[in-house]
Amino acid sequence: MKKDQFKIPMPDESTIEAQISQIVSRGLVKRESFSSYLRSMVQQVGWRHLFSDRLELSFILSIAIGLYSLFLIVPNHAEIQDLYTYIFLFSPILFLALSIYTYVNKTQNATYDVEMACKYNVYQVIAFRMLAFSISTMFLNTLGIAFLAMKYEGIHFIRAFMLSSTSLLLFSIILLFALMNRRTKGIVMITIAVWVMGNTFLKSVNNELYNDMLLHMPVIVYAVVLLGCLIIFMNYLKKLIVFKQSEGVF
Amino acid sequence: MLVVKDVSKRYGDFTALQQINLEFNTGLYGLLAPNGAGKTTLIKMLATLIAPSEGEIYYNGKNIIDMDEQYRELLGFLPQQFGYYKNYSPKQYMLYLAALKGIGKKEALKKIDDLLEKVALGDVVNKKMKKFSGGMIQRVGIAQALLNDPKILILDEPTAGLDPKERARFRHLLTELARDRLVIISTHIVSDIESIANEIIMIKNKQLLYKDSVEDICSTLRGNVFETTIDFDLLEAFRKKYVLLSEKQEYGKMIVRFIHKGVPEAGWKPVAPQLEDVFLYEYRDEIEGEV
Repeated sequence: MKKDQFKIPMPDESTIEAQISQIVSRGLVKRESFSSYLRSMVQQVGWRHLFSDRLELSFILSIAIGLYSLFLIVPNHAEIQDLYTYIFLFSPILFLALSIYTYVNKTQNATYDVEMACKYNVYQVIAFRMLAFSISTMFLNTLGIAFLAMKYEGIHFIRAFMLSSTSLLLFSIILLFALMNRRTKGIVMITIAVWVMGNTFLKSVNNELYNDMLLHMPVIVYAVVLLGCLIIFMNYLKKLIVFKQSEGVF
Repeated sequence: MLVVKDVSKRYGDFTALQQINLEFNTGLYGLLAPNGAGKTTLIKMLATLIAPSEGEIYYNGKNIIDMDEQYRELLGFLPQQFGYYKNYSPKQYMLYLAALKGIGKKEALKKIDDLLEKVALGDVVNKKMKKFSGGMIQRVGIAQALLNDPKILILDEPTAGLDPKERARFRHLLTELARDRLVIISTHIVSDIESIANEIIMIKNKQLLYKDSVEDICSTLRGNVFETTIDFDLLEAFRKKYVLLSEKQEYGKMIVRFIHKGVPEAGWKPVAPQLEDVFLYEYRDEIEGEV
């Protein structure tokens, strides 16, 4: 009997480790990184199709640029604190207009079902666009701030830039959170109303903490907050890419 | 190939589908049920447009929700309401959808011409779709579903708006396609699938009623379908007594086709049951309700 038994040599620890990692790497599909995913999306779909409703988006953009040009007629003497408040309050406006248009247009359109069954579906296109909108909004905001900094000596460019970018990303996170969790027109309206009214209220009652945050918070703290917001924002965009629709949007 | 396992779908308190179990392989499957029976819900789950409340759907052993874009790459889908951009031509729209499907422009252009030719739209490829008839739009929908040469082709009410000639051409196209892929068609029109489907799936009371060949489903009524001629005056009483499948007026009399389970009367001619008979019999309450 003993002669019939097979002897299987036990592999050593390093062989076991190597073989486990080999099995895992062969068995599991390697998940693409967010940036390489976006790159392959641009390569395969192309800018032209990613922004298929260019006419409408250009219209929104031109209105926004018109609003930005209002900076040209701001009075020569203005309260610095007021200017910082406006920068914080209005920085996400362009992003908001473009994103809401895209979101409603894509999810409400009769083509929704057809586009949802494609390799790159509606939510992936929305996520891509939101990223593009946030970058362009940040760029235009920076131009606006540069102009303000040239006009008003009291405006510190770096602080204003941090404030504006933080505001933009913070609002984007709140908007994405609202869209992905409730998906109702009401929740979007509430998000916008809370943002505008909350900021206006805090400014009008001359809240000390709010003023300190805008005027005196060290730039390094802003940089940390901005970085945190950027990470959370990118995380939400990644979530939107694999977002599963249960039923009913708006 | 595609397995639906213990799938239920609920919308709040309303249950649309309950404990559905199905298995699909290469071939043509007809999903046949009256409007509102849950066909579109099942189709939307198979196309990953909505997720099941319970249960899973697997493609070759992998959950289709987890497969994500890998699954959608294999999928061709025509929804019940095929949306389009009015100012686009079929070529422009299909180029756009081809891009979303990850197909390169060069390859797409060749495929688009072939497909539009196949659905007899070869001479209007550059015309704006706002001028198209319902049937023409539906044909664009069928063509776009084939863009990525899908392994799984799901068509929800594809023959809506097609005239009899177009329907015949469409059936021919489907038979050709189903030779090497899975084709699932949802419809409430029996003649669309009766002659071409390998298997028919029927849903009743939110649950699976039949998944079988046309012959086997028809055999459930074997010996119970009859035709006879009656006076017009007796029609109302006859309707109350039997499940009438069809009635036809001829020389002042009525030729009726009906179901009777029991001993037949003299003068009744037994006939071979058709799929339409089973459909009308099984869904008699829902159909009367609709009327």
